[in-house]
Amino acid sequence: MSSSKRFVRRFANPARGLIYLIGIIVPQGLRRDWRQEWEAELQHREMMLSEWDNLNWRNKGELLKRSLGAFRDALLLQPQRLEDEMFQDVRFGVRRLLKTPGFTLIAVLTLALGIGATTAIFSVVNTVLLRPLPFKEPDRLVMVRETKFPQFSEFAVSPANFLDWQQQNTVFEQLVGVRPVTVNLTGTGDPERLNGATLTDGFGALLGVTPQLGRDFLSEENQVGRNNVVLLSHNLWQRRFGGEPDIINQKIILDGQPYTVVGVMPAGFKFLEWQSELWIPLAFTPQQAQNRGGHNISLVVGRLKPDITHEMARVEMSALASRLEMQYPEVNAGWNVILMPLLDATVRTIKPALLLLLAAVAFVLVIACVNVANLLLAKAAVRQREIAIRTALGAGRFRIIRQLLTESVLLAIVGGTAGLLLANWGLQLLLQLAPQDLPRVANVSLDARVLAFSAVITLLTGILFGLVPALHASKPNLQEPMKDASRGLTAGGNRQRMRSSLVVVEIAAALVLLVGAGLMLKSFWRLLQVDPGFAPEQALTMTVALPQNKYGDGTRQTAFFQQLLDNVKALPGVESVGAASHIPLDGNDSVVSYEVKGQPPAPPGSFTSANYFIIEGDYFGAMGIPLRKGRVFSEHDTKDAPLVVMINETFARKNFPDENPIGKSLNFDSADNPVYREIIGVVGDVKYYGLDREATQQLYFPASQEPERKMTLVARTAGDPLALTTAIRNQVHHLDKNQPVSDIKTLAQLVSTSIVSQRFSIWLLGIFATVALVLAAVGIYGVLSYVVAQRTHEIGIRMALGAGRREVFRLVVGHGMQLTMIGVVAGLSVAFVLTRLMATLLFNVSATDPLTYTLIGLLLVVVALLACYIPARRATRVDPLVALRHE
Amino acid sequence: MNRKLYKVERNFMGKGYLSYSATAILQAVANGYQYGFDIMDMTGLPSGTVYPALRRLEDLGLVKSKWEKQSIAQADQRPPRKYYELTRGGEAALAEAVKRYRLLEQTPALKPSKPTSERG
Repeated sequence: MSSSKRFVRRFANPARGLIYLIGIIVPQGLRRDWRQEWEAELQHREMMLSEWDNLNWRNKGELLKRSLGAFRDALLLQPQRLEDEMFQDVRFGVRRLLKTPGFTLIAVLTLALGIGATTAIFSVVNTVLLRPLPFKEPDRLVMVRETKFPQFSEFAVSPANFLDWQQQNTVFEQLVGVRPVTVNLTGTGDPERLNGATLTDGFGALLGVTPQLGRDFLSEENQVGRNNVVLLSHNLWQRRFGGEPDIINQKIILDGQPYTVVGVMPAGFKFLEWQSELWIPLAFTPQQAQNRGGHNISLVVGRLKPDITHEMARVEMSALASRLEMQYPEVNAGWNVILMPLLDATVRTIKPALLLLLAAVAFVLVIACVNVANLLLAKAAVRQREIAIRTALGAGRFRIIRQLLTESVLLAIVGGTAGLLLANWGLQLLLQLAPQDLPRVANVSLDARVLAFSAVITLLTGILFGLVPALHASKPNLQEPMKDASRGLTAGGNRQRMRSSLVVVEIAAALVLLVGAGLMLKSFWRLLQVDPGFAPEQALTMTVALPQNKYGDGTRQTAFFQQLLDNVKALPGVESVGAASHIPLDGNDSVVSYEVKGQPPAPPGSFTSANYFIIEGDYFGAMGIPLRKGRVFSEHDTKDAPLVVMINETFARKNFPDENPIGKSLNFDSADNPVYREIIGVVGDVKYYGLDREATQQLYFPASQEPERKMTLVARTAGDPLALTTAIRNQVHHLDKNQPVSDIKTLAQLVSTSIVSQRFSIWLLGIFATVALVLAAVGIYGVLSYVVAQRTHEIGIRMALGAGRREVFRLVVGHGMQLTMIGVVAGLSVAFVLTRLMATLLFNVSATDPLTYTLIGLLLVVVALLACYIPARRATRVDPLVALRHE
Repeated sequence: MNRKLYKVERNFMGKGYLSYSATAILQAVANGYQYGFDIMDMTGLPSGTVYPALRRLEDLGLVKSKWEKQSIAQADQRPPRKYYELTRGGEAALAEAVKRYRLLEQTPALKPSKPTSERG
């Protein structure tokens, strides 16, 4: 039947013609059945009507009315149409991706790298910075400390001030003082030194945590004499007491005193990231409760009342501090309070580094996206004809964009899934590299928020790298592809520009990242060059803390340590040995205020302070700290001999700029009742708070005149220091079998631990920067290869007209270098602005360090040259005869 | 419990009860009106309501459709028609819905309207 006849037959009956027309909008998969159902019904009804009645106009109108209802029926099937086409797109996309496995593999790997790295870093950021603290209504928890001195942004709190805050404030439900302690656990098994915390009343209510076993402290247990009770950590309970439930109400021996176990905290309970194994009530004697000048409550944590904001609390507490300042001007002058959300206080040290890493990894992701977009553009060029044909056959622009976007999102989903696997794996690696004191690092995991994050970035990247090529390829221009193909010259100028600008973006982004990494690397290198002021190699350290009740007397303490040092010195392999109340970089803090005899006293409210060390034996020899002037302590500097002190060079420079400090005297007691100590020697500076910090003013007291219960032994050895661990520990146990030793590590380990977070950042930044560099190089190479392939014909003509290989080489390399230079200039400008944000993370390097900028710029240029080389060489090999035939 | 039935109940929970017109259509199918046009005659509902409702009921598993035997259609020189039947889930859903729409119980059982439809 001819088509015209078919048409006439179909539309002879308007009702059935209508069904045919409406059928056009029915999803293709349903169309045949749909039409048949409606047509069959109409035909049957017509037949019946003509048999039974007659097919008059009224009946025909009725049929037409019924067939109009088909329109609503067809409309309601539209969602299925979208679904249908989507499936079609996805099927088609999968087929296309499988058809070009090389392209797919490269794109998926690139995306997996970008998405995986971003997800891994984000999961750390999520756990450490974003996840709320695991306490009841954690937003209401606030850390409160005191502040006064510009050199210490915040300070511990004095007991009298704390008690006044507790009584007078109106903004906190609870206010709890915390002071870390270390105690020796003896009695069962080996003696052990444990970290813990002492807490004032209200700890359980503050955090909303109840013990897993037993009970919380009672209020009356925060009184002296009733505070011999202890809460154990789950870990300690399992480890030392076998997880026996009858531990409750048993007595354990801490520092030689019996303590009753009242409860066991739940597994995983951690407060303030301290590795506390037990908690003890903090009680003040009447005398301690009056102490306003000694700031010894490390920090105070408060729970805000429900309607109180942080700002309201800050204002109220400041007012309270001013009142106390007026009330007690002699001790409280200049003291103010500082408040900080507890979460911020917990993570503030790591926050800048983590945000830097997140920014860096975002750059890697952008570069990965740009690379894949570039690949897709190249592919779109190949597909230009296919798209032109589809457009010519009636496909709308939207339809084509949707098809191309489906493909890129598909690619992103595969890449994202691979990225998630990579992230999971990379996270394990990351956690091994991560510094152990990174807050909350133990809980890092891929949780729902991380999965949602990576799903979102996957889709976004899919759209981001797919949209530009899709918009571009779908331009309704039917002639150019045909013309391009027939000309074979520098074709698709527009698309070429697009690819070139993508490469510029890529180079710029890589450069920013490289500059950031370069600055960090230089900063780290500077850090490694820092002279700590002591010789970290071949020295072992361990801490011995004598219990108060057994060694309360200073003479006994001195005797113990002198005997121990003598015994250790006699061990084979030990060259020199000494001990100190604490050692540099061990994270402890000790500050004493002083006054120089003969110099005017410091104005009220100001503070001259220095770090101090109490030392015993050949401490300077064991540490490798050089003596600059005078002498070191000797056995003659006994308790009854004249009081002596040693100072470091910084102290000498600050206080005795043009004088010889030897023979001068310092007072550490009140100005009214001075007790002078004579300076007998000057030693070199040591880095006390960290390699990246200035050396502080430092003082040394002999243990014989200023006995100390807790000393850290330093033994310089001939061979491997750790090999002597057991021998030295045995010497301690030989003197007192109940005496634990702790913190056994070499000095070198101490130094290395102090820079572990910088090392962590460096490693990750280095990896990201390398990935960025490789991706950028691949990008340049890809574009130039494509350009050379496109220009083969043109190059052939040029060569036929007499251009030499050198000119052709220069042509291609010139093009690549032009892009590189634009990218480098753009990248340097962006880096110049962005790296200022990381200034606080740098040590001894300016954020705009010209050397780093120059070297990184050069590095990128060299890498770009290498990437240009292969395509350029290929161009010089063009045979004019072949090229002219090249289509 | 029958799987289909479960699906029906879930749909009931999820989408609320069947609408009055859906119940009427289900009732018509239960009473032996198997074709779209017959159901329109029976219920008085327009085609733009009956067909979409049938498709939805089919998606819900309350009715199922079959094509008429080719031989019957050929005898009439027209394409085969599609007819609808209640599933077991449909019967249960109808019983449930009828309790709510008491009036429907009074619908007559298969009473040929003017154009008799052939069956069987």
